[in-house]
Amino acid sequence: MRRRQRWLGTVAEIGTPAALVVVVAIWSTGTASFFFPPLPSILESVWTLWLAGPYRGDVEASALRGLAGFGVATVLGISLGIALATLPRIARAVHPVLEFLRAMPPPVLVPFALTLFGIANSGKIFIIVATAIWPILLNTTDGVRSVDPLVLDTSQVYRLNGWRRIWSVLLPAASPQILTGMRTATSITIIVTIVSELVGSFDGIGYQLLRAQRTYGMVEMWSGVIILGLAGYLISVIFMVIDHKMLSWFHGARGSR
Amino acid sequence: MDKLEAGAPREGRLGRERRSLVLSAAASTSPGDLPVDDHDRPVEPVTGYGRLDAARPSLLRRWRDPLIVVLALGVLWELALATSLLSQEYFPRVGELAGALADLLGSQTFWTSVLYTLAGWGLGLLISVPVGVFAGIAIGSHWLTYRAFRPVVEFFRPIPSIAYLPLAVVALGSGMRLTIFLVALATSWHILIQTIYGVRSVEAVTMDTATVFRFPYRYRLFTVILPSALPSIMTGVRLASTIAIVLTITAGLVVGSPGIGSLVIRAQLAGQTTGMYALIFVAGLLGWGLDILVRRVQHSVLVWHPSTRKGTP
Repeated sequence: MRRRQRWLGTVAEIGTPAALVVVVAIWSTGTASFFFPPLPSILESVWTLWLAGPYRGDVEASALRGLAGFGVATVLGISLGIALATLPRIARAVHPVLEFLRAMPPPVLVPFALTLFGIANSGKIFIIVATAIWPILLNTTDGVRSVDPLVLDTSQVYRLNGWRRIWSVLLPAASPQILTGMRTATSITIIVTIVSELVGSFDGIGYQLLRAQRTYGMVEMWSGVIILGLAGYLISVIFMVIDHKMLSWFHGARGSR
Repeated sequence: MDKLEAGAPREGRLGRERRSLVLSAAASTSPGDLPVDDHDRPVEPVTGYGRLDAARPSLLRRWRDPLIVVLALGVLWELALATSLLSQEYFPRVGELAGALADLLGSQTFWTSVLYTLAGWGLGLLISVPVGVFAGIAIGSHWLTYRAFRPVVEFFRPIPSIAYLPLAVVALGSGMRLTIFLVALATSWHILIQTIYGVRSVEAVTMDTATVFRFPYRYRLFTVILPSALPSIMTGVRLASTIAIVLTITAGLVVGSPGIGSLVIRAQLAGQTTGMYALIFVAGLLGWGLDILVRRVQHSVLVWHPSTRKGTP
């Protein structure tokens, strides 16, 4: 019975997506619908257009802007977060302001960057930093604040001060929550990168998507969706690996409790 | 809870058992022990400084420091403008900003845009919440459907919602239909995933107990499965609300669907910098207000849940 169940489960797990892909492929090849081009040609253009073709530079441009913005946001967010966590009174005082900034829908700041920087790269990176930093900052503060008091006391007994305290006590203890904040920040990064390219740009994935939309390039658009999906998938794989490597102690500790 | 009670059968002989069942089921989904795949479960965003807020001081005392901060920021802003650290060409004076805000409040277009934005948010969620919850229960209830659909769900999950925008524009134009479709599509995904996790994380013992008591499925759904899954579903609703407002505004920015977003981009293109800042400020207030609203709803739906009760003295 159990073996049969396991077997059935595996078949379902592989079978359903495979069946879906086959059905969509056959249907989209057969149909004359303008909106749904054949799946095989979409998949082909993911490679021939985006990854190894004329749009490759756009993918790189978007990736670079995203990475730069996300990197700066991470460094700034973690440092400011730690600083705020050590100053509880100030943290409480600025909390409503931070909450307001965090609740601001990220894309609405894109026109602000356009006014300030025009369509230069610096404006796009600035706006990614300005929107992706909040979840990292707030999660870092919260993570540091909820470090086990016993750990803090111990580190005090050992007279760990300054950098050593931050580096070897606070940061590791807060890392699960910091990672959560960073993960939220990645999705903001993707959204803001693409929106900033949709609104004013001359390269990038968003720009090519916009061009495809204006010329009704359905294949380009669908393959663009797949490209963005791949980017999202890549990010979640990276975070899964980090999670397994860096936080195995955390899951272990939680499991043993 | 009211809604749940309404859906649940009237107090019968099983009344007491039922209630304790609900509670034990609820206890099993405390944030401490999540389902197996918890590492890629969207974790609830940080909302505050928890323990610090626990002992509530008076209203004045609570808002004194934040008020000082806001005032200080205003003064710094004015100073930066006065010393030309910030260029007056790009940044408005505080007074100008207040004037622009006042102008907005008196304008008809502004209020219809706010209404459109709220409508995009609300109607989108009105579609996605029932769809997501229903599909989530259907998929999560049985191990076979769960395993069959898990790869499909995992495939679509990382696709950023923004990716669908150009496609949707070609299919639907740039009106309200576009906004509602986008919001519904993108948010139902998150609600679906959170519902599946919630349904999967119902404790086996609780389900077995329900089986022993021979609860019929409908009964079990409303007294065991849904209450246990509710915290997870509500987390999904909150995520969905954030995404909904982001998408509504993005649709306005990029293709000019009615709403605040299109007003912002129009102000930017027309060079009305001050008006643009006022609109951005309003968009922030809107996002903030909706977040607080959804948090309130979440709290009131989950008052009975241990994770909510823990914080209150």
